[in-house]
Amino acid sequence: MSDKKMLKQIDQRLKAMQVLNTFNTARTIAVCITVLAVLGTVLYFVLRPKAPQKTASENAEALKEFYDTDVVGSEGEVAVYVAPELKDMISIGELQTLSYSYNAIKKVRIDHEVRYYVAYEGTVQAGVDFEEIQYDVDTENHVITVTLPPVSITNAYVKAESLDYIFEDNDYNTPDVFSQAYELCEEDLLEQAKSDKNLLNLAKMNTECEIKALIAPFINEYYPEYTLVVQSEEVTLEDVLREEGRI
Amino acid sequence: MKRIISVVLAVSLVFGICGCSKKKDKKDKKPKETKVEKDSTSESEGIVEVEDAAPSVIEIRNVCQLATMDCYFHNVCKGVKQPGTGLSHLGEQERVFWFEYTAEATLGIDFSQVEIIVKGNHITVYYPHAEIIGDIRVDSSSTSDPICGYESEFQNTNYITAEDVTAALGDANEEIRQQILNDRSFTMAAEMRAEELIGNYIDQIMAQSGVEYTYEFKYIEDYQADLLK
Repeated sequence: MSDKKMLKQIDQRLKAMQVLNTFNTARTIAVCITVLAVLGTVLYFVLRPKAPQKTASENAEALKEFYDTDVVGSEGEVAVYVAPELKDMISIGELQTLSYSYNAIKKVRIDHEVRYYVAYEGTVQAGVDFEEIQYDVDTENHVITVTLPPVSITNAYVKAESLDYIFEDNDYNTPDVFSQAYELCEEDLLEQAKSDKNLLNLAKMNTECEIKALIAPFINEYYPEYTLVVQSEEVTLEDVLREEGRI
Repeated sequence: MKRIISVVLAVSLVFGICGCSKKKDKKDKKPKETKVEKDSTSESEGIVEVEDAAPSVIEIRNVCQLATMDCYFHNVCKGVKQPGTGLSHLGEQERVFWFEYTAEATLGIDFSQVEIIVKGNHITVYYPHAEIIGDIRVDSSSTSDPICGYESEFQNTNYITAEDVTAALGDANEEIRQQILNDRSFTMAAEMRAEELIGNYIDQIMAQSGVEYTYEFKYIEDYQADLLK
């Protein structure tokens, strides 16, 4: 019995010694790693190339940049993925002879409350339908008559990316504001364009000049004794109302 | 004393909770679609410090452009807004938003560069390459309200704003512009249409001349070379 007890005790002591050895090994490894880390850090700071000394203004700039970027911050950027698909191509024939850029600001109220202001850039183009230009050659009187169709606004559009907003309350700044603001700006631009008669007169004068320049080579070569007359078809208020279906 | 301290702390906590719960849900603040009133700042009083408060024409240009083709594109725009930087944007995550619209581009030629050379019975028309006239236009009736996925990402405070949609649209339009410029078939179609229009014009002019004539079209780059011949 005593032998068995003794063997058991020896066995337990051996196990304890094994555990102790393992612990000592782990401790040794940990110490080695720590020493290597400290050594590596010291070598890095000793051997790294020294940064040039910064002046006070450079330090101030760096501090300001840190404040602006990491403290105050900014809105995130938007990345866009698009896949435009061609729907239709329509042949047209518009001779545009005047283009003007137009800036304005609109105040938008909803339910009698001012919600935001929107600034936009628009472009209005005026001209005539090239296919409607009529050429009449009077061989008896030696007159070439070019009749231009009425000048009209061929395009009036708002540059979508030019829309800029100021909101009375930031909670009104929602994604669907864009489509609403764009529509309002377009309506405003059209109203302004239609009310400006000088622009249509200017476009009419430009068109007449362009047509004269275009037809000149033919007259010089084939119709040297002919007189060129360029006239514009005038549109009366009656015509406009008839076209709109009011009379 | 301990009771006084605990009461003061409890009251401070209550006030703090009440103050923090004031922020309104953005979804409740969508502008309503009814009763939208327009008011030009030039007609209103009191707004005197806004720049360009009155409508102003900034540039009038005499142009001479023959627009020959209108192209219509349907565009689905998928935008991703990155989280912002700084303390005020802590906790933000990426936000995805989609919207679709129809864009229109007009192609044509600069008519002021057209040269018509008449030599005997032969007419040569030199014209420039077709280009995009003006800007890419958005059909306002086709724009859809952006889909932002708020309901599934309520904890993400990275909200989509009107400026984000505007910027995304600008990038999308630029993409359309590049697609047109990189695809020669668009400009060739516009040039063919220009030739058709100018050809009809020549036929009308020459109808009474009693001369048998021929005409051809060349690009303006060949004009100088042909002059030297």
